[in-house]
Amino acid sequence: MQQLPLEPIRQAVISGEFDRAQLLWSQCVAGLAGELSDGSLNEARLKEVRELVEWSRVVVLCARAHLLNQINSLHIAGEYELPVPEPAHRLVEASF
Amino acid sequence: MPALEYFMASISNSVFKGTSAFSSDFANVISRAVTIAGLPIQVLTTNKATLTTQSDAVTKLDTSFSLLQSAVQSVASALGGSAFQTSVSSNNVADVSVGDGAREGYYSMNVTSIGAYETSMSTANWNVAQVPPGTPTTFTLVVGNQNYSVTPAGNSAQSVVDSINAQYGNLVQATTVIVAPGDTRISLRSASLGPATLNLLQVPGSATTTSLQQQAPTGYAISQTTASWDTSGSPATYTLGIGGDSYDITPVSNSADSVVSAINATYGNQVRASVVDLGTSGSHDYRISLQSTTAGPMNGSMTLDLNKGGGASLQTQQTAATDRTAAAWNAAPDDAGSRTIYALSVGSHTYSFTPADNSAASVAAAINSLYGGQVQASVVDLNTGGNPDYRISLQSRTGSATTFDIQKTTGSSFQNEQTAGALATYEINSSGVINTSFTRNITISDGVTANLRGVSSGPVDITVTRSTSALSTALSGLADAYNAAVDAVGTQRGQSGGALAGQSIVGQLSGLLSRISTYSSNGQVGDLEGLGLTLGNDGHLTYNAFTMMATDLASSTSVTAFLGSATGGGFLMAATDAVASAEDPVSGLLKNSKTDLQSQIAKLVSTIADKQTKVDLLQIRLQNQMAAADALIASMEQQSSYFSNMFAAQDTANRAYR
Repeated sequence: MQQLPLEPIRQAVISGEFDRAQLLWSQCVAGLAGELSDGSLNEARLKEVRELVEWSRVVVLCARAHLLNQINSLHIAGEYELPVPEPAHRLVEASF
Repeated sequence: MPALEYFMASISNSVFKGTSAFSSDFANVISRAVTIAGLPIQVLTTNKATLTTQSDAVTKLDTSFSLLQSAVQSVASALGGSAFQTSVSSNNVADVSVGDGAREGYYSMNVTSIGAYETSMSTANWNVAQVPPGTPTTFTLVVGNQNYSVTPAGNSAQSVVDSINAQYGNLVQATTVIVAPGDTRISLRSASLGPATLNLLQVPGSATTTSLQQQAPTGYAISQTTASWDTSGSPATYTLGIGGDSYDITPVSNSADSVVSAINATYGNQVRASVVDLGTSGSHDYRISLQSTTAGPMNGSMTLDLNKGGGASLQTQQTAATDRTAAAWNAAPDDAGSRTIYALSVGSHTYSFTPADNSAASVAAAINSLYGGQVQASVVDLNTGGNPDYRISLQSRTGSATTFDIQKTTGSSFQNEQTAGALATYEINSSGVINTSFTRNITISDGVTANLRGVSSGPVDITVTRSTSALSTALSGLADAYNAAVDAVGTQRGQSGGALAGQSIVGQLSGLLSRISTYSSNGQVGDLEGLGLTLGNDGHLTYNAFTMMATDLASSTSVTAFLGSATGGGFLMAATDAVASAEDPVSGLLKNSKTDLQSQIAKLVSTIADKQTKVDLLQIRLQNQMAAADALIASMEQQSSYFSNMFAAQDTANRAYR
């Protein structure tokens, strides 16, 4: 069984390098196809890849939502030139 | 400005018109008196006209020098960030931008990690009920160890997200994510790279609070090694001082660990020793901390000392800890979905925080990180052979006596870590130094910033060069502005000179211009001629763009060095200072001269107006006097005529009756 770039994919997704992640996914898919053809693909490997796919999907979904928010903020700022208010910090005064 | 005639002494149109035979004489007297009284006004008016002409001339010079000042600034701008071009050998690694302060150069950058933002996501579909219904819920947003209070208008995911972004958008970005139909989560993303806890907690109103500390007014003695621990030499005998008593110990080596082990093994019931590292992971700075196990004096004293072979004391006595955990520290991890929240009380103030985990070390580290200015937390292990018995001691950092406490309660935790944050790491110019950054915008040198996009497989070349055409255009503009200023000054010189002819300001301005055109330095480019600016016999500069471009291509760094900057030396500083000595709003020659002239003109206008008023009054007074005299004479003339007629009639009658 050959080594699939699962951890590099995870690292690329974490750091937001989605181009690199996509490239690595292509390599991973090719590796899986090779394992399928030579009969070495097993359930554990499929489970491992399935988990990474689901994790990647949610992380990318969240990243996309954050990026959309940033784009919307930029659009609003550009459209209306809203002054950026100073964030009002308030430390928690515990009362328990 | 009023017409010049206005200020001339004048006689009003209502000239004196009497009825006597002398009325025209009276009118002449008035006219003459007013004309004589108005003579000083004519002199003042002439002076004012002269000053006005000079002021106009200064204004024209000011305009020319102001344009010259702008031209000098344009040359400086042509050396600024907007004039630079960059190239990167691999665009997938970094985008490079330049700003003011940038210089031409070649850099290499090896990006080993672009870092990652910490993210967390709700563990399930967001559905937090308001208890009681309709009452706003207060959530605790955890960023790092710090807790922040968030009370959204409603409990919907969007309300919570909006509230977080409005209040703490500089720390964390929140957004809603529809993971699946009917499954909306809240995603939190740190605003900076690196690891940081991101969580949303809610403490129910019914939550119980546990106080963990016990006050010790007499204090636990504490001392710490003054300097980095010295392990040199063969194993030595150390003397441990506990209060008024001294004990010799002989550790197996001089390492801090060995000394600590020896102390704890023999005298651990009186004092607990531990090794603390005040340095960094790359540069350790080990010290030995000693803490008494019991509060109050030991053998009559609060001193905990240590010396090596009878030498000088190695320890510095610290402020006694007045508070210590009452029982063995409970570091049990939280159950899924819940989180322990801690609170530090300092006198009447209470601060809430959430450490990375429940260990005594993490709690102490969070206290020192967040509130280290007020209190110092340290962990002491009171175990004497069995299981660890960690306690947290609290010392005042302000010197003032106050009470401390650590409390804990349990709240609901809604988030789970999704991706771990990491710092960006990179190396510049193969220096061997791996730098870390909280941001992907890296300042490579002054004015040169790289925005990291991806890791590199090796050093990436970054080239920063300056645009020659921008500088050429600016130098051409400088020559034009300089020549215009020379011409403007020239019109004020010589026999046919303008209103300022003969005045010192003309010579001073010529000197300033000369300082600019004859500037020289010792560099490879020594004068303006090297940049294509030739000073002619007529005092004008002629610009040759080809000369400048050839020089710039041959050695752009020499051109940059010759020009320098407005404040950092070189031609630009000399030219800027020269022009500023004429144009400075406060001390500039032209500005001062203009102000002085305007002031003098204003005074003259005022004086002329005063004098005109006096002349007008004189005229009115004379008219009144002459009118009275004329009326009297006219009356006398009438009486004279009456009597003459009467005498004539009487004489005629006498003759008739004779």
